Amino acid sequence: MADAQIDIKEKLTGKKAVIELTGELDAKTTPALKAKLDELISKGIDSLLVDCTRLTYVASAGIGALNAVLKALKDKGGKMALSSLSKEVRDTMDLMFFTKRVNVYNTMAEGEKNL
Amino acid sequence: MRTEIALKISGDLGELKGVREAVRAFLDSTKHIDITEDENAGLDSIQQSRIILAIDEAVANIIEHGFADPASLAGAQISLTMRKEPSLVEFEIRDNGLAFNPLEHKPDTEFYYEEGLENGVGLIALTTLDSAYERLENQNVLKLRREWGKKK
Repeated sequence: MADAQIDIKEKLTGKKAVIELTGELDAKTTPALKAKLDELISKGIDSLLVDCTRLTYVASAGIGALNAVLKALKDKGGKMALSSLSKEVRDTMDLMFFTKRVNVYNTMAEGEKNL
Repeated sequence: MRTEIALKISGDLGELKGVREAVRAFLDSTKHIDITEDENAGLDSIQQSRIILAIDEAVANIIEHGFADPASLAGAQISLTMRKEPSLVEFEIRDNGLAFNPLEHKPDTEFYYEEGLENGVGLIALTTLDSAYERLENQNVLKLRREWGKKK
């Protein structure tokens, strides 16, 4: 059986970044996201929108990677937000209290406007 | 009617996707058979997704933290048995790793978020199901159960 996959598309505008996730974020695929997030932080971004329109699954590993970058951005006065969560992904993030820590927008456009 | 499906899992995180797909297929097979909460639809997508998440988190935790070193991880024997009875589904996860009761793990979510930690909240997923743990013959045995009509 094929491994889970995560595809990450990024758009960088000055210090603002938007990434679009396609696939599944589990313990296997999260290191790829973490590498991308570390790269964005090292480029000096101060705000990040993570669009989840095509994210079909998230486990605590994925939430952990996002949590680490949330802390890094907050420490330098920046912010992070999420957009377009499916109801299942939203439910998982609610269960783990992550949605209490970040703004969640219904659409990527709305998220970008508030970045 | 009672159905039972057993799955063997190695100590490789690449197995997780297959585990999730097997659980989803098993839950889908409960539709239109036996007693369901909604006679036509079976469990709704959120209830299905919570069961899949709980099993994924439990197995990932065993692979990532259940073995002291790479050599013992290479000898990991993890099994998932899925049982369906008229009024419930039950999942039993067994592993030969270090003794660990995941139900005793109480995550400190405040600390996790304040410190930006990467690990620590996954086992919250187990709280959406009825659960029991025992250490039996040098194995961890975790049982997760969902009775129809008993949303938590």
